[in-house]
Amino acid sequence: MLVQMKVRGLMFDPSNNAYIIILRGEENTDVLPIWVGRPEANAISLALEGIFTPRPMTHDLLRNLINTMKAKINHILVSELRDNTFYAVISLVYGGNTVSIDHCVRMCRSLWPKRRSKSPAPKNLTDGLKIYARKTLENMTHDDV
Amino acid sequence: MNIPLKVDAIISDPNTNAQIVILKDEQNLELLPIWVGMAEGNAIRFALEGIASPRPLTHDLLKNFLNHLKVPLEKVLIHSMNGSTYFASLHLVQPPPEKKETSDKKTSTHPSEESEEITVDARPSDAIALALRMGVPIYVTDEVLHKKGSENLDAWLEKLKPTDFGPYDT
Repeated sequence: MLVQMKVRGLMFDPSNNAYIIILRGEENTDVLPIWVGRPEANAISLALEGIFTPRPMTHDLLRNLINTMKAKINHILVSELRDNTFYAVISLVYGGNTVSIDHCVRMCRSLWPKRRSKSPAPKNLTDGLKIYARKTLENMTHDDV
Repeated sequence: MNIPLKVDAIISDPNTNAQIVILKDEQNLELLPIWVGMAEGNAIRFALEGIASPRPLTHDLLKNFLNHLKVPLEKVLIHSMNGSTYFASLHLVQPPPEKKETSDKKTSTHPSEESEEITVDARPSDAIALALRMGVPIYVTDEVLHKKGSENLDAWLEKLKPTDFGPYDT
């Protein structure tokens, strides 16, 4: 079963010098924390804050490529947790075909809010990009991460 | 006229902690130093040293994205500079979407005759990181190459000490 997730925030863990992205289920019951690297955390926070840089950052470039090629992101699926690493898949529609691109989870995340910030009325996730996580991942406790 | 360049080295500026990509032309006559951010510098360094990360990093994702969509990257071009900022573009060959050519909704698999060259604006750092990963040439317009101050870099390199490079930082 797939659960639709929203990005609820980005946290800094000073003891480990790490960044943690917090995903929350639509019903606000399920929480999925994902540790990300610093450049990725930067990319995500710029997107969350809706900051546009004068020159395109790497994820802006990716979005521009997707737009230029008239491809469209369907959703991002956090599909697996293996050896403490989350795995995600980007599902794209391009020229009538669905293409899936494997990636580590943190990249996917930073693409989403940028798309949301581009849409005029970001009422809910249906306007933007959908993030799903499998139910099994949801049941993880803090110690598992 | 566009001049092909090779990535010669990537070094750290000890004062600002910035990364500098040194591009050279084929005759080793012209130098083009480009200041890049830490993350992009590391992305270029990984590609230069042939380090493969267990999971795809952002520029690997860009590469995978282009490969999956079968959109070949032809070259990257550093085409202009404004103040101290360089501007680059990715030159891609996009086969026209076949779906639109046929009247029905089924996608035909045969390749179309006409492909379209598209350019996408990018920072030179991203363009170089991607070019190294995809093995495509990096070009610069001679206008940009002659505008930059390689004399300043020569002077700076003269004063550079081995200790200035700092530890290898990933």
